[in-house]
Amino acid sequence: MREEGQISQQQFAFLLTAYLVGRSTLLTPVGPAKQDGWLAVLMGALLAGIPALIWLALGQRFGRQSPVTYIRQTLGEFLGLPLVILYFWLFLHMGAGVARNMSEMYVTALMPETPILVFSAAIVFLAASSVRSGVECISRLAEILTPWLVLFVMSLNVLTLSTPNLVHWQYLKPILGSGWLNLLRGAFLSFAFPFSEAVVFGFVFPHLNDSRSMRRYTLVTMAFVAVLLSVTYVRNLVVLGPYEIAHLTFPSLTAVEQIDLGDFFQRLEPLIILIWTFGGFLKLAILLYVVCLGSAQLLGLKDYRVLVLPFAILMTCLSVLIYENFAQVEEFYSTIYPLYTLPFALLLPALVLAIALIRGKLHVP
Amino acid sequence: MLKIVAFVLVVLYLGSQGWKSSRDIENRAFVMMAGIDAAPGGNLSLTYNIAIPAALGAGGGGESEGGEQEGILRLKTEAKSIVEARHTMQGKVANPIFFGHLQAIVIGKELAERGVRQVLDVLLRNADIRRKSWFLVTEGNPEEVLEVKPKQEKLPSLYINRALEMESYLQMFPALRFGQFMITESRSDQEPVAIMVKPDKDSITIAGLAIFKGDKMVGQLNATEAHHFLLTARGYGFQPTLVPCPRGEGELVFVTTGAKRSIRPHVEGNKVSFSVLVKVEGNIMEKTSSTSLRDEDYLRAVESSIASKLQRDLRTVLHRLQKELKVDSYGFGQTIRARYPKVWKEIDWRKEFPDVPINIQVEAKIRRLGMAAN
Repeated sequence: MREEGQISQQQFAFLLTAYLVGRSTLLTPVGPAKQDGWLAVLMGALLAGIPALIWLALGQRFGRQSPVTYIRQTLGEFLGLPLVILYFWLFLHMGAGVARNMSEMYVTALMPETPILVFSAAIVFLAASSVRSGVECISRLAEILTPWLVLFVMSLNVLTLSTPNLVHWQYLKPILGSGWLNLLRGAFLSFAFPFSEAVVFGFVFPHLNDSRSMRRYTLVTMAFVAVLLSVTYVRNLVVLGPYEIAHLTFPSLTAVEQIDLGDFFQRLEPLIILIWTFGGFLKLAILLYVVCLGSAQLLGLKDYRVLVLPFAILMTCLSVLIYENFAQVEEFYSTIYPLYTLPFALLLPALVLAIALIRGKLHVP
Repeated sequence: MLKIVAFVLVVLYLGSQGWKSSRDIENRAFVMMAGIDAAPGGNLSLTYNIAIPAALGAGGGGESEGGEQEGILRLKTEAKSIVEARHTMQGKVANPIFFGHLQAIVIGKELAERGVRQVLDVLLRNADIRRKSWFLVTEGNPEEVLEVKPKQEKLPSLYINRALEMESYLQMFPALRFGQFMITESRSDQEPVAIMVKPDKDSITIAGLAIFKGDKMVGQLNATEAHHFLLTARGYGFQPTLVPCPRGEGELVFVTTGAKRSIRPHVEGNKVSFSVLVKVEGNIMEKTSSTSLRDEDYLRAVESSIASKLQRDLRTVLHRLQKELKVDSYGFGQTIRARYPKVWKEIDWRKEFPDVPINIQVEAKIRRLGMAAN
């Protein structure tokens, strides 16, 4: 297997940030939590700490081994193999979802006449070309792009909040007006999207060149992203109000286009589209990379690069096929998605960890 | 080989399809202002002002022969729906119609009374349209607003935008734009208002506020009432107050420079009431009486007569909105929803509002007397 890519912890943190911020401001499914969506995001991140800790424990236990290997080792080929394949399906599906969301945004808000396939194909093939260059290349890209993404998100927040006559803090009230139950449901949704999507990083851990403070880096990054997303949600809420948010397809875009500071800071939508494009691109690259590398490991190929093109084509086609319309996208993310990702993010790794621990107690592997 | 073929195929596909939304800036028809009114038979009558950039660059603008304005193409059509109308108009212009620079949407009163949901939906659904456009209502035909021939700007739309922005900059009238209208229209605890404009030959003036209930216009406030409404609703919208001298003859003009407003809801069981405190401060900028103002007691008396005058005015407008039109344009419901969410869920605000006791108190403070020493 020719993939000796090694990434540093900083690169890993940048990658994770871009991955989580990526398109998360594009869709914010918090379901019934609505006005308390920003709390739901924070709670979702808190919940996501559990799978993160499990994956970290697995990563630390198995060191340089990839989940592809250790899941099969622990559960046996009979159970492990289909599971690993299912993981690849999940990542492929996620990747297609990312490509679709992004293209959908382009087609709805920017270029309505262009066929959606153009955007999907363009972004997936760009990602494919960086996947062919290996994980180190993607990480370095993240190192360059992520600071800008974070800077843009923050500055858009600051600029929106400081535009005169735009912000109505009273829209935040009543806090917890929808009740604890709805808040928890919202938290569960935001746990699934975007935080539990980070399972893919379980497959990136083996590439870390120093795994000692892995836990700190991961958890701090997640906390940081949670605060960033929560603030973004608050921004949308105070600008648009809880009712109006529900009427809009892309609340963030609508909120940001109202920035108007001294007739100079205006029309900053390109910045947020930049965030979505770069973030989505990095997300796509990581997912495609893990799918290709993992499949190559599974099949015992010498090089994963031969798989990049087929998987890229598959992902492009899938991105166009998975939903019929945008209503389905929102429906999917707010109802099915949490249940769909839960086993992959939490239950299976917990099972693997438990079995590994029991086996470790019984006899040294 | 395979790589090359794949590369060529991708490039070919992207090259053949990717241009479809391409629009050169010089090849767009910029709709600067749109007027929409009701037409007989449930139809809509639409008028667009489309800018002709080439004609704007040359010469001084203004009026050319035949009464046509230079630099503007005015299109009119009637249709059942706005999108149909857009199609008809597209047939008449050489370039794709683009709404990204739409400055103002002018709605006729008749349509406003019929309901603007259809218009709002199109505006919201369309990706071009920005929430910073002005959403205006006019008493007569919206075309008259579109036909204004301003002296200071070349395009009526830019003039209207500047004029309304200036009112908000000078704190005379808040910038109630389309986005703000949408937000209040979507809320259940506040009803929307829109600026009413009155066209003249070469200018427009703010004629007041159109009061909506949901998406339907139910009444209007004249400019003075509108200022009083805004003072209660937002602590904003300053206009000079003329008060008679408390001692002797003559009058004083009080110019508000700042205002603070607080709404305090009281809830007992399910009975809701409000006390509103409006604190205004400002300067005396004109007086026709001979009494000197450099007298502490006299100033207090002037302050209290300003306060009682304003209090009377604010209460009159409140009475009109609450008892006659029965709409909560102030957003009193918001404070209930924010502080007593449980009570809010139990009451039907639209039904309750007309009977809720609301008490408005005004406090006035004179800060400065201008350069004159008396």
